[in-house]
Amino acid sequence: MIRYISARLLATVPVVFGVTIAVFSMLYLIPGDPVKMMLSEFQTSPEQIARMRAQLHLNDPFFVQYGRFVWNGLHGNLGTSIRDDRPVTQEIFEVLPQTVQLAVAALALSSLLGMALGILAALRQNSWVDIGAMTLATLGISMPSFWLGLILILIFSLRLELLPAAGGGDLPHLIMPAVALGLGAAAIIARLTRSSMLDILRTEFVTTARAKGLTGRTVVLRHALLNALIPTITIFGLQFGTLLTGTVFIETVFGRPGLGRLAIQAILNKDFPLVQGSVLIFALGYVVVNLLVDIVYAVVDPRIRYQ
Amino acid sequence: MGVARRAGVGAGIVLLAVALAAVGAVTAAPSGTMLTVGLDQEPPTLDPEASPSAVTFQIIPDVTESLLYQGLDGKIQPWLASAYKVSPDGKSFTFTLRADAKFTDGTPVNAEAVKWNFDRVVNPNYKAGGSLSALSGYAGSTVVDDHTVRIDFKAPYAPFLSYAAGGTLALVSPKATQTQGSDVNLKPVGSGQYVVSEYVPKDHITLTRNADYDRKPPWSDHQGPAYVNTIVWKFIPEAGTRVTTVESGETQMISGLSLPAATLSHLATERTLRIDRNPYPGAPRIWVLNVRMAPTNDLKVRQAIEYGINRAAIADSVFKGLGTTACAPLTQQTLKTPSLCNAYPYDPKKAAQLLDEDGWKMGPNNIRQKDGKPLTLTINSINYGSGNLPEIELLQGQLLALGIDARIKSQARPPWYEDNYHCATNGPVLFLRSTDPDGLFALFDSANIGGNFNWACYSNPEVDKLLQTGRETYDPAKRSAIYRQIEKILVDQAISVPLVDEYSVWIVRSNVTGTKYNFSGYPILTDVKIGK
Amino acid sequence: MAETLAPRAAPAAGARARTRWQMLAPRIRRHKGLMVGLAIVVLLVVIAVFRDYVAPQNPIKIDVTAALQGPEPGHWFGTDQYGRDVFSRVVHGASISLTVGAIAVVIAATVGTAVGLVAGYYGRGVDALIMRIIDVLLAFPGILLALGIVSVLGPSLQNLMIAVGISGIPFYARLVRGTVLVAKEQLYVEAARVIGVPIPVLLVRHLLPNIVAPIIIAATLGMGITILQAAGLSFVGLGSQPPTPEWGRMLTEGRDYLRDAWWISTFPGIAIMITVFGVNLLGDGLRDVLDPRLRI
Repeated sequence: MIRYISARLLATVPVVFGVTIAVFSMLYLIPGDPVKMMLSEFQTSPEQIARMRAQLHLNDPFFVQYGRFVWNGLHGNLGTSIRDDRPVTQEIFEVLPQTVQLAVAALALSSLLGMALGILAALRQNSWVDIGAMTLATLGISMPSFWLGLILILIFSLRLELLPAAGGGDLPHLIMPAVALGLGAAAIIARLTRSSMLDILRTEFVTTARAKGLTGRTVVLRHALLNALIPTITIFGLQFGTLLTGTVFIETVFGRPGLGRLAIQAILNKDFPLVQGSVLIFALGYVVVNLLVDIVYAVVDPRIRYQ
Repeated sequence: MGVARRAGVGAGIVLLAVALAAVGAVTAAPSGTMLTVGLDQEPPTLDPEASPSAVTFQIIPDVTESLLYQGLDGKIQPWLASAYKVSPDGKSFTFTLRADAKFTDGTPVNAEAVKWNFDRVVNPNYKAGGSLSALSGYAGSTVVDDHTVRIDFKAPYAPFLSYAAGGTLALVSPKATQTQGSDVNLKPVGSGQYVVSEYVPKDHITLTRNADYDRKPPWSDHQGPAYVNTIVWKFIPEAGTRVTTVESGETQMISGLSLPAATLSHLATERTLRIDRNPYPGAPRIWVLNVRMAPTNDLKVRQAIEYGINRAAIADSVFKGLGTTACAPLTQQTLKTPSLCNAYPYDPKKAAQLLDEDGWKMGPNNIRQKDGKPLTLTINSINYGSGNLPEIELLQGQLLALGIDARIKSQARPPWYEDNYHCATNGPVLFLRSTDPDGLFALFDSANIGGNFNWACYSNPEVDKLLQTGRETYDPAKRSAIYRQIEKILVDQAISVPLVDEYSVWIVRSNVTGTKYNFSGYPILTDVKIGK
Repeated sequence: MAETLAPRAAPAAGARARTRWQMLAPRIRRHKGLMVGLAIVVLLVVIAVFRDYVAPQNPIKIDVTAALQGPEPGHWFGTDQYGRDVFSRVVHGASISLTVGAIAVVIAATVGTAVGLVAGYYGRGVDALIMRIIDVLLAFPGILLALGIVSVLGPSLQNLMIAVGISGIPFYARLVRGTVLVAKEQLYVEAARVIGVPIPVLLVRHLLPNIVAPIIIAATLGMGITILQAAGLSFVGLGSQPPTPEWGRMLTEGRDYLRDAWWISTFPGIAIMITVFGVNLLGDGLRDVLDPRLRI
């Protein structure tokens, strides 16, 4: 177990290294002078620009700058936002909880809904329930989350006046964003749960259990369900990543102060340090979640360790 | 099968419980001592002397105070200064300060503090905003005695009294400002009826009542502190969302900037709401045409655009209720110029004829061309986070009908400024809330090319000279004549397309009374009371 | 998931392909989802191609006197705040979304396939290096890679296609590599190598036909995701520019009018959903028919 975990941890190192290189090189690829952008709302002289460049060590070679970027990053310093003149890490961690909250709520919602629908469909394979549920799921996958968000606002905020349309913070502000974000993931989970449920129901030990005279309900409960859920866990990591970045659209729709909205505003503002910081945090968060999922999966299903 | 059914029902119950919890929370409305105001954008800074943006000055009048006050009627009244005197040569202004005014950190508002503030603005190491042009020609301040300060200028400076009454020259505490570093951008310390108690970036600003305030400001109905305990300024860029919040009571007041016209007329019929509407002074919503870049460097093309843009259609559609058709580079409220209103009547045929004469013949895809080159131009469009301003796409559509292919360069504030400084597009659409016709100086004096706000990149010695004369002239009638003359030149040369004379529009819940507005059209909330 | 793929049958020559098609045709016809998906996609393509005839009006023509009219004869989907006919804009949007989706998928699939072929065939160091890079790219979840690329290139419809296309490359590369790893162990590949068939020929003639089915399935399903992503990026202002009648952009433009003119943003949203739904049905159906064991 420990060997598996340490091997898995080790495999993460080059990925993290690659991610930091990729994020850092963004600044080099962007057309336009970041220094001029920083000073753009004010009239500047060439001397001021030169001084700023020196202050930011922009004249150093690429790898020296990259080294500094990583070193500072390890010390919790991702630079200063051009637009707000505040530390990037501070700006990110102010809004990060809102995004994590939203992604977790959406994941919980989509898991519950998706599994329920998937199990239901599998148990009644090829019935109208199955066909209906799967058509619904395909529709769910096809629906743009941001459009669903607008429709929810139209119905629940503007017409029924039940839920607040914008902002973040408390539970009422979380419901519609979580639903809009989670429904697509629910559809994917439903399809996956259904197919892995069907696989299990076909396998021998369920047939054996049935032959032993156990009732249908017990079979489903004891054997099929738990075994079917194991593969579903693996896609949690994947889904969480998709949900995490899905906040980019949902936070924009609901005017929710979060990392996704921060990233979009930073891109539109050409606030490069903030773009780098938010992209980096998104990617690292995803790497960490996948690492955790893999470890949990290995604990739940020992077979995986020997593959 | 039973399991599945139960799981489904279980999920349903969870969702229902969540929904019920939500309903419970929404009905708990905020109490009467808190006012929540929805604003379209976050200010770049709250430091009044650093801000180049009008947003700051919508929030700050409750926090900081100025030497003078200019109300909606335009009359200059005493505020922190109890009296003022202009020297016979018009170059020096002597202010007598009230003895009882204190900044909220306890520092007295005295002559030393005024001098410190004004010196700060012109300090080359300080990133001053609109305050810098308000102090143009500043020669220095002299502390005559503790309560008397004299401000000197290199030349006579007629607009100064109005500027001294504006938000850009509001005073911050020298003591607090020197110690708080960059926090001055978030929590400037003034002498007003509120203090900034919390600043949550990207979300809201909380102002808390200054209970020690014991004066009666010039607009107020009472002496002493403001009525409402807390004012929350919430940033809600999406206009539609902003409207929802004021209807539901999440906010009690919202900015009407860029509100969809249909929504506004719909709101006017709601009994729970009131619409406060006052004209903005200064320049209208205006498209300045970059005279350095093709094709707008060509007078004929510019004139064709003037004839071909249907301003009335813009004012009557997306700006309905938010303004009236503009005529000139200054709003009619700032300077009446009826003759200029008919300078370029909407006449697409005339526009087409001008373009034809100029060699721009109709080409493929209904885009005009000359020597094989299509007639294209770029409009620099500022995007505060919820898309382009509503007039931009209308302009694009109207230009297309003329055979002009207008590209929209939609960008956030910093790159938008950058392009304006470099004359890199055919011009932005902007507005300038100047309290004096001298606002034309910022817009069209050649000294402001590459700076704020000569983004037409227009240089005309005759106009420069007239602008300077306008600044030096105190006689109101003579001043007006000078500015009318400048406007005539600008209109003849088609340097800008004035679109809409805008109103400052605020949608307020009916139970909120006592909203006041200064000459700039910015709200003052110290007399607000919230009823049942 | 690619590793779970089973080995596939020997390469298809012309005659074999025909028999294979004859074998598949009835299965395709019997598959209801596939037929419905196909019908939706074909209909959309027809609408996109003949947009100038289907749309009653010029999609970018402004007429403020006709602004904000609800759905009614003449304006089936109403008009927007500038008086443009929403139906005409939705119709023209079909060609934009399908084009963006198709081009981005072609970029992703061709580059991804090439990379996957090379990595899978050469194995060892080349494979290890390529897969490390792919791993890094896959560490950017969902839309993030496209977002990063757009922020570098700047927002426009063209850059949007490139960004979404590039962000899809790792997916195809991994899929193809996995399939190649299995296929190259087969006898005929070994035989071709022994008789000295040049490597490029080997890759394209012998290995590629084996992996066409999974690529087609992946590309069809990927097109749905791509259309959604492109619309999303346009929605947040990082894609198409006005007055382009792009669906994601139309959602943004109608957003402020949600209360008073729900039709402006409702119909483009439905259009996106129907398109992606059709593409997904088609993809699911193709998978069921061509390669039921493929898990994508």
